[in-house]
Amino acid sequence: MSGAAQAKASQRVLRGNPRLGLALGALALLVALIALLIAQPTLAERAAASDFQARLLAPGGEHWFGTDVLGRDLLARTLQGLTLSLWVGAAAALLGTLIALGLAALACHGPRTDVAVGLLVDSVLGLPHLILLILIAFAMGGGTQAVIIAVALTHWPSLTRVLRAELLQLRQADYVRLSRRFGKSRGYIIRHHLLPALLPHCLVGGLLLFPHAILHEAALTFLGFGLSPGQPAIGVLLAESLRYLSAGYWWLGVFPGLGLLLLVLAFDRLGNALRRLLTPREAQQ
Amino acid sequence: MLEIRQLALDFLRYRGLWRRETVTCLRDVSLTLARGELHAVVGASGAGKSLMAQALIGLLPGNTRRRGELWLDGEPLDAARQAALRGKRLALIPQSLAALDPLVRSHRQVAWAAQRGGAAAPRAAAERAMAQLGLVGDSARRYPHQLSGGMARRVLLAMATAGNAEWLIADEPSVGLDPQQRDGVLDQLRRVADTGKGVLLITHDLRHALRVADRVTVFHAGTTLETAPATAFHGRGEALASDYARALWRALPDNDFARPAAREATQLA
Amino acid sequence: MLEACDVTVGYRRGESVLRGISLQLAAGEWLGLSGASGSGKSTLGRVLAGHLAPRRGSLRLDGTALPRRGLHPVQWLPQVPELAVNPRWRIGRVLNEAWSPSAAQRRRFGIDDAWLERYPHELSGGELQRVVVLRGLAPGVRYLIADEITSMLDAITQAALWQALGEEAQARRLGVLVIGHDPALLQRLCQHRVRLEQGQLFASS
Repeated sequence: MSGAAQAKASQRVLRGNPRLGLALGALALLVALIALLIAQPTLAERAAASDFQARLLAPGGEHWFGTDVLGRDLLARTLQGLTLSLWVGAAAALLGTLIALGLAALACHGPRTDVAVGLLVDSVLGLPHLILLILIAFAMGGGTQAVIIAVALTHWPSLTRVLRAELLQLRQADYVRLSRRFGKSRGYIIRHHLLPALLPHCLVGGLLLFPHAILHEAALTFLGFGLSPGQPAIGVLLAESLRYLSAGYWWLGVFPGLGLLLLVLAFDRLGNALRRLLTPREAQQ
Repeated sequence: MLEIRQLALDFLRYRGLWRRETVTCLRDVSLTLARGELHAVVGASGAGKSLMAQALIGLLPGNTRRRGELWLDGEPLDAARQAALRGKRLALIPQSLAALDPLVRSHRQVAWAAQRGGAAAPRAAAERAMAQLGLVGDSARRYPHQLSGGMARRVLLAMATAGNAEWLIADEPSVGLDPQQRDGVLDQLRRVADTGKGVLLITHDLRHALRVADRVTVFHAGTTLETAPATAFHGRGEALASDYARALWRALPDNDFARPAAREATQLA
Repeated sequence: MLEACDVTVGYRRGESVLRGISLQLAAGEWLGLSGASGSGKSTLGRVLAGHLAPRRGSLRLDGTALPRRGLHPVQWLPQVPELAVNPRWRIGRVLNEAWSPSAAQRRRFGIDDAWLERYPHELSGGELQRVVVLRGLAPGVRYLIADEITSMLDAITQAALWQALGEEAQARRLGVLVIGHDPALLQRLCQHRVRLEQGQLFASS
C-alpha cells in the first residue's frame, strides 16, 4: 500500500476510537492493582484481626463482605487473598514463560532436540493437569515456593509449542536467511531479528498464562496441597467456607469466588486484547 | 452494465498505539463493464486495484470509508444488494490462494460454489467447470495444500465459473504462474466473456492482458487515468490519451524498456 | 568467475530437482535463466547464493571455495520483497543492514528519503523492491541472483529498477543471473540465456 505517501497529516481522533474501551480497562486494572499494593499493610492487619463480638456477620454497612467465623473482615481477607494470588500467579507465569522460551530455543537447535522437546511437551500435556500439579506441590512440601514451581512446571507446554512454531518459521524467513548472508553473526540475528519477534508472543502468552496460574494456585490450595491454611489465600478462604455454606453463610464462599473470577476474567480479556493488538492484520480493524 | 462512478476510499488506521489517521487509497475511480466484455484494469502494485475489487463485491475491511456510487443494470448496487448477489451473480476470484478452505477437497469447494450460484446439479456443474480448466480425475479431488500454485488458481477460477455468475472480477489471476499456465487462465477468462458474461481482469501485467482484453483502464495512484480499447496500445502509443499510459506501454521490455525521463517522472508521480 | 560444478539437489531421497548442473558466470556477465514453474530455477539460485547446500557438487569463486562466514559475495534478490525485510524494522534500518548506501545511490534507485522513517507495510511492492535490491549491493558483493525480482511489478517500475541495477552492475562489473519467465525481458537484459528442464540446463535460442 503506497497509501502512506498520501497520508494526511495525522489527526487525533479521541471520540469513537475503538481502543478507548481497552485503554480504560487496562487503566482501571492498573489503578486497582496499585491501590491494592498501597493498601497492603492496612489490609494485612485487618485481615488478621479477629473480633469475637462480630462472628459470621452478614454483609452490611461496616463489613461490606461480612465476617468469618473468627470475626475477621471478609473484604480485607478477599483482597489479601487476591494480592497473594497475584504474586504467585505473576511469578509462576514469568517462570513458565522462561521455561517455554528456553525449551523452544532448544527445540530449534537441531532435529534431535526438537524430537526430545516435542516428546516432553506431549507427555506433560498427556498427563492430567491437576494430578501433576498436586504431585509436584506435594513432593516439594507445599508452601508458596512449591505452588509457584508446581504451577510453572505444568503450564509451559502450550506456550512452548507456539514459540517453537514461531521460531522455526522465523529461522526459515527470507529476511533472516539474508541477514546471515550479509555476514551477520548468530548473536546479532537472535538479538535483532528473533527475540524482538518472539517478545510479543511471550508477553501475550505470559499474560494468558497468568489467569490459569491463579486458578490452579487456588485449586491447589483449596485441596490442601498449596499455601498453608494460615495464609488468607483465596483457596484457603474457599475451603473454609465449605463448612459454613450449608448453614446459610453464603458470603464466605461467594465473595472470594467472585473476586477470583473477576481477576481471572480481567487478565484474560487484557491478554486477548493485547494479542489482537499485536496481530498486524487484526490490529487495524 | 456494471458501473463504478467516482469511487473514493479512505482508510482510518492507527499510527502507533493510539493516534489514528486517514489515508486516502482511492481518489477517483470510474469505469464501466458491459456484458460480453473483458475489461482489464492495469496499474502498479499498491495503486489500489484490489481495493476497488473488494469495494465492488462489498467486502471492504471494517476501517474503510467509501464515497462514490456503484450501479448494476441501472440500479444502485448497495450493501444489501451486494450481499444478495455475491457468489451468485457477482463473483470474485481473489488474489490470495489462502481463500481456499484447507480442510476441504477442491472439487467439493467448487460444488459448494456451484450450489451457492443456484446450479440445479452442483456436482455436475463443478465437474464441468473444472474439466474446462484441465482439472480432471485425481487432480480435481486434491486438498488445497496438494495443489501447485497454478492448479490452485484454476480451482479458484472454477469456483467462480461453476456458479455461473454474470459478473466476474479476477484479481491478479495470473500471479505466480508460468507462461503456459498464465495463458491457460487468461484464455479461460476470455471464453467466459465470450459466453456473454462481464469479466473485470485486474492485473499489473499489461503485456499479457492486451492479448485477451477488449478495453483497458489504466490505474495510477488511486485514480483511473484513462480507458482505451486494447488496440490503442500499438506502435509508440500515439492513440493513448494520458502520458502515464503511454509511458507504461513504452516501458515494456519488447518496446523501449525505458523509464520515463526525470522531468516526465516527476509529473507522473 | 562464479562456477557451479555438477550440482545436484534433491528435497526427498531419490527425487532430484537439479541433476548435475554445471554453470559459469563471469564478472560483468548477465545470464538469463528460464524454465517452467517447479523446474528448479529458484532452487539453483538459492544454491548459488549459499542459501541451500547442494547434496552433491561444488561451488567456486575464482577457483576457491565460497566463504562460510562474513558477507557472501553472491547475493540473492527475491521475488517477494515483503518477505525479505523484517516487518518490525523501519526502512532506514532495513536498507542499512548490510551496508550504508549513499544519498546519491539511494537517489539512483529512486528511494525517497521520506521512506526511511516508514515501516515496510507502508510501501508498495515496487518501492520496497528497490530498497531490497539496493540493500543487496554491499561492497564486496560480486554476483547477484535476481530471482524474478520484477515479475510482480508494473512495466514502468520494472524498467526503472533494471536500469538502476544495470548502471550499478556495469560500474562494478557485477555478474548477474537473471531468473525469469518473460522472454522479452531476458532478451533485453542478458547476453546469454539458458533453460532449466527436468533438472538440467539447455542453451536457449
